[in-house]
Amino acid sequence: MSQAQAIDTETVDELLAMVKRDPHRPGPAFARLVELERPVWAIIMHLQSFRGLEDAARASEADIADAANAYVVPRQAVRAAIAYYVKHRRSVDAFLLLNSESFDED
Amino acid sequence: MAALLLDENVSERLIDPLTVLDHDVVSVNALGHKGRVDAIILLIGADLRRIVVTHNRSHFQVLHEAWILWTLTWNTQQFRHAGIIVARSGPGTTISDIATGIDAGIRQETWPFDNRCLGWGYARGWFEVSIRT
Repeated sequence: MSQAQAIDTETVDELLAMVKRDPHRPGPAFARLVELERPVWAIIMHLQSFRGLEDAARASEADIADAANAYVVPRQAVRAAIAYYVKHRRSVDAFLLLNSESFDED
Repeated sequence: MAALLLDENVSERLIDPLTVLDHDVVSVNALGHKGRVDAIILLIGADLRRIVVTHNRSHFQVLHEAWILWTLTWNTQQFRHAGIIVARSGPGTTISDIATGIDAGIRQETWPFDNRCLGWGYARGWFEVSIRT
């Protein structure tokens, strides 16, 4: 492992430590930001919906700042949500799709 | 006009445009209820007589159904929640769209919203979330 890779891994681990599973909702889709309590899925939804990102993992600093402002959290918390999303993309996307499609028809 | 309680999955940026539209808006976080489960959020909304605004239709529809069916079954219909608005957030939708949509719905729907769950989506407009029995 190169020095750069070690630093990146450490950074990702630090970011992931800012996210916790929801003790009341089983499954990775419902993780929340530690102490801030904002759901990861809501921040990802914001990036996809209001910032128009097909892939929230590719958020720019402007996108991150916008989401941080919308949910009144530090930018690092948005980065943490994105890091979690990268690791659990399928689960978060599945919930977002399920929730979104529930609006289409009854 | 209406008293609204924003769930923690809703952007705090909705507060200003809805306030300008004459609604009384407060967020769950501002009230110090960070991290509360959805059932408690609905209960807080009921206690404060505030309509809960959320993006989480999946969970709040179930809570709404349970509230209605259980209070009916136990003949405790005097316990009414203050209403739920589930707003869809999708690509191309802006905060302003959601605020305007919610405002329009509140003004056109029959008041009060007690024990009602209403959905709003940019393409679909307003709809009543039905209860499956």
